[in-house]
Amino acid sequence: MKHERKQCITRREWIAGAAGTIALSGCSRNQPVDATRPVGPKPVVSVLRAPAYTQDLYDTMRRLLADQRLDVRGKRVVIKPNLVEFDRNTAINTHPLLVHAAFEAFRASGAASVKIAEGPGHRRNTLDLADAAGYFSTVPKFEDAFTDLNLDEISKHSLRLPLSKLRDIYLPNTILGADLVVSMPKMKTHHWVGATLSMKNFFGIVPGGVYGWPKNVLHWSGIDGCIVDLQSVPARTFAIVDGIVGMEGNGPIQGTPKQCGVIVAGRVLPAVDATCARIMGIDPNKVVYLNPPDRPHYNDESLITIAGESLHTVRTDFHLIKEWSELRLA
Amino acid sequence: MIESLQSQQNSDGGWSYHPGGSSWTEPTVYSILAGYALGDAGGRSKAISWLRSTQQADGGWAPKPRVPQSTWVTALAALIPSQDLGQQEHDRAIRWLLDVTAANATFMARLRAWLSRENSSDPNDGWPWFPGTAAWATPTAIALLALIKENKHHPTRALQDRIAGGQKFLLAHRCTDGGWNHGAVKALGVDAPSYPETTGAALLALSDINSVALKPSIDRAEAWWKDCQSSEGASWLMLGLRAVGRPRSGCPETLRPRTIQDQALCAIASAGDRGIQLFTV
Repeated sequence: MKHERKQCITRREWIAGAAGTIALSGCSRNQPVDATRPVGPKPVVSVLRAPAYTQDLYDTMRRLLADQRLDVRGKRVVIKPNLVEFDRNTAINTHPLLVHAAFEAFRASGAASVKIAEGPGHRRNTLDLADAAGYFSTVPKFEDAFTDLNLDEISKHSLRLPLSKLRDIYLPNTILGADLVVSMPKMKTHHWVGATLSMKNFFGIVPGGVYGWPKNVLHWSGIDGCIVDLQSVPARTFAIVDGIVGMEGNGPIQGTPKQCGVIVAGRVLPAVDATCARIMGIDPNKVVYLNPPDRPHYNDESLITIAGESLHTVRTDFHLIKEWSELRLA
Repeated sequence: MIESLQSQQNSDGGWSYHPGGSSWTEPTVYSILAGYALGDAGGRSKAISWLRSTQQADGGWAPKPRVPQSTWVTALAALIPSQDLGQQEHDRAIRWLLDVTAANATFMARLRAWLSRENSSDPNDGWPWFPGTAAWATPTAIALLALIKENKHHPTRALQDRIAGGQKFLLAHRCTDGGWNHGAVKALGVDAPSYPETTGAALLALSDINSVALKPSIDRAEAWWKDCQSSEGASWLMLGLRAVGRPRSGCPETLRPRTIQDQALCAIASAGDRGIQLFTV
């Protein structure tokens, strides 16, 4: 009897309920949804120990892709390393062995095609730079697999809800036509933005053939906004950060090598970069491009599922120049 | 060399950076200049027709026709002999170059720099890669070459003022080692090293000034010549060193041209051995 009565709604109860609904809907109109709060399942960020650039990386990369359940069968994959300078003995460039290990892992995973592509920001002679950085001697038939994004065919791309002053930008067709773009940066400090990781690495997709060397239009349009805008261009992204030997101090060019011994990877680039920042002893809450308005923030560790090593076991504080000393993670 | 360049010319008359690609202004101009260097006029009229057809309404050139924005490549087009490009087309290109100002050279930019205690007296009368941005070494060097060449034929005060400003910019943005990089001499107070290609191009653009002032740059260029790792770099060093009376012969065979433009530049630089100096005469 009691149960039946509960199923019957009296006129008084309906009116009370309706009034409550209206009141609540009014509240929701006044209190906008917090767009910086991520929705959906927590992104998984893999943190793997890798003490050196050895042949073990090939197995590590295959395990990484399996652990991340990254289905690339039949997909066009483009790997975007960070190539900056003619030097294989410093920590400026993404190490070629790690890039080749990723290249082979994606091929073994059934990708329809795997390309390596980069558009350096200062030096025009990309293939010579890649040669000096050890890519030709490490990646068989490197020239066949490589695209110079500075000189690639281009198309105009309109940015959706840009944070920077850019509204549209010419971009390489190799990037626009890829099913998956894999950002493979070096884990480095950066004298303009604090740290350069998987999101900032996308500056290299902007064609120097149109905008020059350096791609100064990005600086005049707002560096932090451009970092956020560019990482959202590819249809699908993945990040594999070379933190085996990173760069600390006055990066991204004039810093010093820093042994860190990790590879950090995942599908959600801001989550990967926030994790890298914590590993480097940098507070992601203080890195401007990791805190954009109206975009999800992943700076709270509880918003990410860490697979592999726990962050406190791999944390390796990178030296910060005095201009960025306030970024230090407590 | 010329057969290789001719075989890579697109049906529209232009060249791409890589075989099979669509035409871009920069490799097209270098390939045209390589034709002059090699004494071969094959394909030239078709190439110049493409160039004339792609000049923008403002008198400049875009990197490629689908980008409707004149940029630094206008200086390259202005290096084509005016009797071939067309006097009107050439004059409009020179006017475009004279009118372009780097974004950090405007009054407001200098005021902002002064207010933020940056060096507002830093010479910024160079040229940007892309309008609305700052001046950098390579576009400034190429613009200077075009204006210096023009000033030899039709000297004006406006040309001379702009040439002086551009040369002042290059000298102010010389690295501590005597050479040039992309144009940032220091990063947060730390000296940045030079590059061979920009050192060669800047030396070429400054070759008519006092040689004492250039001594450290010549020394740096000669050091780079022994240690250069790209065909592009070697070509620019050859051009720069020859212009200051320190000629080096032949691109090192170990350095492979990577692009069509590298091939063309190598031909232009090597022509100096035969007395052909396209950028300065």
